[in-house]
Amino acid sequence: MRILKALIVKEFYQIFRDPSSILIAFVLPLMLLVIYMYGVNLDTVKVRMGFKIDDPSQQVTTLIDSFKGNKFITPYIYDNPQKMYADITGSKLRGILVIPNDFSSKLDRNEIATVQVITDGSEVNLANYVQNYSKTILSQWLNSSSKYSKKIPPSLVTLDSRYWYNQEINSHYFVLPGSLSITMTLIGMLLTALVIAREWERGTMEAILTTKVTRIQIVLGKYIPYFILGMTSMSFSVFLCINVFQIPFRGSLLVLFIFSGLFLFTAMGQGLLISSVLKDQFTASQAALVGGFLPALMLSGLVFPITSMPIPIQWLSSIIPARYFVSCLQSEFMAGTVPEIVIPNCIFLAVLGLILFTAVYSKTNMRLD
Amino acid sequence: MISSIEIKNLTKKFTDNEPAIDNLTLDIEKGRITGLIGPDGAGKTTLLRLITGLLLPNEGEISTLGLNPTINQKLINAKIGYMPQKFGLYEDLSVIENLNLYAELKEIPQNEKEKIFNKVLTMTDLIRFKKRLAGALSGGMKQKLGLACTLLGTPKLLLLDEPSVGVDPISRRELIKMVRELATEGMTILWSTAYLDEAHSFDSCIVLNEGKIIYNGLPHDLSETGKGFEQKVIELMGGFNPQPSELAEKFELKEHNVEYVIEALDLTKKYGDFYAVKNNTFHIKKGEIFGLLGPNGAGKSTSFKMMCGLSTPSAGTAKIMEQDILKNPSKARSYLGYMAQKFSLYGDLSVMQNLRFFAGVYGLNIFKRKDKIDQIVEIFHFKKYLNHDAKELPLGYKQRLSLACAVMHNPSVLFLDEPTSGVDPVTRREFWHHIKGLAQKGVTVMVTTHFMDEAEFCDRISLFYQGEAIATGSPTELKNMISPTATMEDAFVGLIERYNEKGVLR
Repeated sequence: MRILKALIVKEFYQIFRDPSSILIAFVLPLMLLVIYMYGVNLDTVKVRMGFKIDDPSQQVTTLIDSFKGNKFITPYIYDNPQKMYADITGSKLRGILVIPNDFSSKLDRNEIATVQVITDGSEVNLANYVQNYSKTILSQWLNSSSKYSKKIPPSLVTLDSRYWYNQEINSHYFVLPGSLSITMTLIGMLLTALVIAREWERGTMEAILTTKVTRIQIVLGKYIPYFILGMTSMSFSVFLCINVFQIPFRGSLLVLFIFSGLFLFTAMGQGLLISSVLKDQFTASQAALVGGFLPALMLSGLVFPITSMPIPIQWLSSIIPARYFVSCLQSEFMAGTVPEIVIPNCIFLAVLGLILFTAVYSKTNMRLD
Repeated sequence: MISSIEIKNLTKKFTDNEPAIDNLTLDIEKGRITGLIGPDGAGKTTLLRLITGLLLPNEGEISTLGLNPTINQKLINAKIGYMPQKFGLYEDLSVIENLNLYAELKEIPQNEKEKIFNKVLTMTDLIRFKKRLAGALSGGMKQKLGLACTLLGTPKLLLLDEPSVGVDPISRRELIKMVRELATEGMTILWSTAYLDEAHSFDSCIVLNEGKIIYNGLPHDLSETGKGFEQKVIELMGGFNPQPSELAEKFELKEHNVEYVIEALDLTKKYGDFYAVKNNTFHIKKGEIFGLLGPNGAGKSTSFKMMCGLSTPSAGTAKIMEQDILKNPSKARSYLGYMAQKFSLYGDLSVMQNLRFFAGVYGLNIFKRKDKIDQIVEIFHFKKYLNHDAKELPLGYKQRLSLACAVMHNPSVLFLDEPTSGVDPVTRREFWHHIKGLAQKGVTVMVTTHFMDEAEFCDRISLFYQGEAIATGSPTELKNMISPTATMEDAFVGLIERYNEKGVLR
C-alpha cells in the first residue's frame, strides 16, 4: 500500500511539472469546445447572394425585402450582369436570383411565373443552402402576400415534422458532448503511451525494478494517477458544456461518469499496452496517434455517421471503444439515460478494458529480457 | 573467505551468437570493494544485471547473498542496492522527492526517514539543493544523489554501474570517500568503472574481456602505482602497440602560415547575473594540443560552443585561422572539425551511410569520396560494423565514428569535447595516439577531458573553474604550482582549493 501510494504521488509530481499533460488535460478540451461551439457549424450558414431584378413592380420589391430581412442572406443588388457573373466566378457570391421582367405580370394573369436561381456548384453544401433558402423565402412570401395567398391551391397532405431529443436541430448539442471523446482519448491513450516508455528510456525503470516494487504496483501506479487526471479533465469539460456553453443535459451525471470511467479505463489500457511493448517514447506516441487516436476520431461516429460508412468499415468501427463512448455521450446529453444504449455499451467497454488490463499486466516485465 | 556472490559456469547470450558472458566462474568476497573493469561490450553491465536477476542466465548458476536470482528476485531486491548507468533518478522530481520516493519503495520506517535524509544530504552536500529538480543538478551531484538513493535501506550488497562516467576528479574523489564512509560493516560493493586509477584504489579487482575474466585479484599485485596498473591492464586486454598513426599519415593538411590558429578574445557568456564564461582569453599555436580542464559546469562546453559559432558570446569573440567567428562564421567554421560531447551522428543510419553523409556535407570531391571512406573504414576497423545502425554500436566505436566524421574533410583545427568519456583504456590510448599524430602533422587541437592521464598529453592546459581560467600552463608547470612531486590530479584539486580559499579571503 505504501509503495503504491509513493508511486502515485511520484506520478502526480511528474504530471504537474510536465506542461504537456496539463495542456492536454485542461487547455485542449477548452480549445476544442470553443472551436466546436463557435468555429464548426453544421446547421445554417450566412451566404452572400446577388439579385438581378428586371421587374420593377411593387410586388417584387416586397419579395426582395423578405430576402433582405432574412438573417442568413446578405443581399447585393446588381444592375450590370457581367459584374455579377464575374463575382460568382470569383466566389464573392454564393448564389444569384434572377427575377425576369414578366414575373409579376404572369402572376397577375394566373400563369406560372419563374425565377431563376444560379448557385456555385463547386461548393455543393453552400449551393444546397442557397437553393433551400430561396425556396423557403419564396413560399413564405407567397403565403403572406395579400394579393397572391388566396390563389395558392390548398395542398391535400401536409407534413408535420418534429425533431425529438433536439427540437431546434442544433448540431452543437451532439457535437460538443461528442468532442469529449477526443480529449478523453488523448489523455487516456497519448499521455499514458508515453509514461512507461519514458521510464524505460531514462533508466528509471531499471532502478525501480530492483526495489521491493511488485508488478501489480507498477501497473496500478500508472493506471490510478492518469485515471484521476482523466476524470478531472472530464468533469471540467462537462462543466464547460453545461454551464458555459449551455448544452442541455437530460441524463444522469452518475451514469455519465460511470461510462466515462469505463471508457477511460479501456483507453488507458490501449495506451499503456503500447507503452510497455514499444519502450520508446517517439514510436509509442506515433503508434498511439495513428493506431488509436485517428481511428477514434474518424470511426467513432463523431465526425462521420457510422450508418453511412461502407459495411466493412462499420464492422471495423465496432471494435473502436470511442464509438461506444460517443453514442453513450450523445444519448445521455440529448435523450437522458437510455438503458438500451448504456448497458450493452458499458458491458463492452468493461470487458475490453479488463482484457487490456490483463494484457498490460502480463506485458509489464520485471526483468530486462 | 565468505562470499557474497558465487557464480559458476555462467553463460548469457543475446540474439547474436557471441555470448555476452562466457562460461564465467567467480566469487566476490563479502565486505570489500571490488572493481569491475573492462572495455565496452566486455559484459560488465550484463554481469551486474544477472546478479540482480534483471536478466536470466542461459547456463550456469548464480548465488547472490545465498539466493538464486532466477527464483528469488524479490528477496534479493530487498537486500541489495543497484545503481544503473543513468543513476535511476527522476529528473522532474526534486532531490528530496527522489530520496523520499526511494525510501518509500524500500519501506524505510517513517520515523527514521528524516534522520537518514539529513545524514545523506549533509554528507553529499546536497542539503542546499534539497528542492532543486534532479535534472538541474550537475553530473557530480546527480551521481551523489543516485548513490544516496541506492544506499537507502542499508543494503548488504551494493552494485554500481559506471557511476563516475563524465564526472570530474573532485566529484569522483568525494564519491569514493562517501562510499567508504557509508559502506557499513560487512557491506559488499561491486563497482564497475572505466577509470583505472579508481579501480586501483579498491580492495580487489576483476578485469573482464569479451565475457571472460582475464584477471581477478588485488590491484596492488599487478602494480604498486596507478600508472603501472593501467599499463598492466592494457597489456591484459591485448595491449596497445603504437604504430605510426595511419590517420595522421593519410591526413592532408592544407599548408598555412597562421601563427595563432585559435584565439579567444575576452570571451564571455552571461545568463542573467551568472557568468558561465568570464573574460576568457587565450592563443593557441599551430600544431599545439590545448586542453581545457575543470569540474562539471565550469564552462568548458559553453566555451566550445561559442568558439565554433553555435552559441553567441555575450561579449568578446573568437578567431579561427584569423577569421572572426562572429563576422565570418561560415568561413571560420570551414577550417574546423568538431566532435561534440553527446553522440551527434544519425543513430538510425548505418556506419556507412553516416560516413557517406558527412563526406557529402563537407563537400568532399565526388571522385575522392570513395577512397577517403575506404581509408577511414580501414584505419578505424569499421568493416564488421559497416551495416550496423550507429546507435547500436558499442560506445568506443561510436566515439571512433564521431572522430572519423570530424576529421574527414582534413580540417586545420580540431575541437574535441570529452572525446573519451566512458571509453575503455585501450581505445583511449588509440584515440590519443591519433590526436598526437595529427598535432605533429600540424593540426591544432583543443580538447576537454576528465582523465588526468590524458591531460598530461596536452602541450598546454587551461584550468577552468566557475567560468574563469584560474591557471594556464604546461602540465609540468601546473603540477609545480602545487609541489614538485604532485600528480596531475593533485594539481587539479589543489589549484581549485587554493582558488576557493582566496575567494573566501576576498
